[in-house]
Amino acid sequence: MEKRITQNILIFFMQTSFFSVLIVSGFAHARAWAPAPAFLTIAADLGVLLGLWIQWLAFKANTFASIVVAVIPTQRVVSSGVYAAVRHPMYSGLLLSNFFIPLALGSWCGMPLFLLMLAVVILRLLDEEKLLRQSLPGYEEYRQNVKYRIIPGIW
Amino acid sequence: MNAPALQASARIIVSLIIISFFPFLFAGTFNFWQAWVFLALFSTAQTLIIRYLSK
Repeated sequence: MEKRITQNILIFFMQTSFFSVLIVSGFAHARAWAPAPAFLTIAADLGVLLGLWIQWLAFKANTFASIVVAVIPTQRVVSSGVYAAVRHPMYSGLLLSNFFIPLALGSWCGMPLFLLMLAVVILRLLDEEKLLRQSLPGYEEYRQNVKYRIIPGIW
Repeated sequence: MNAPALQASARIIVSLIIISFFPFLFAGTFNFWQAWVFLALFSTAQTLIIRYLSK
């Protein structure tokens, strides 16, 4: 269970953003608002799967991965697998899958809600990095070696 | 997998399936192929991830 209030607020907004996309997409379907073509919907489904696959790779590489932002005494820096490409592959996968969910549900209407998810993930990630730099031995060196947070070559 | 882990996994999987029904609920119809495809993919992928994590 997350104890820090900032993180609880951020988790609340992440969940709100996710549910809002599902709700807006349902409404949009009923009213035929901004429908996406079928080929784009199928492509978006593949995008969602790709995002989930990246999340799975992150879980596989990092046994310390958790919804709670915390450092446990036995924790060490993981720099193998997808963690060699970016420092927060879990968020890369999460953002990728959430970016494609509105289109996978057949409408463009939910796309603006992705911006809320993006903003919340960035805030959560920055807060998490602050904690890791303070509390996890070797994280600073890892940060120097792996330059990018969620998108290789960009950020 | 031990019993508490199995129960927790089952709870998460059921929750995910319920969540995935949200689009149908707000569309007011099950005649929504995009949501069926999404539900199938999302639930299957999440179940596999949870099963892997529960090992």
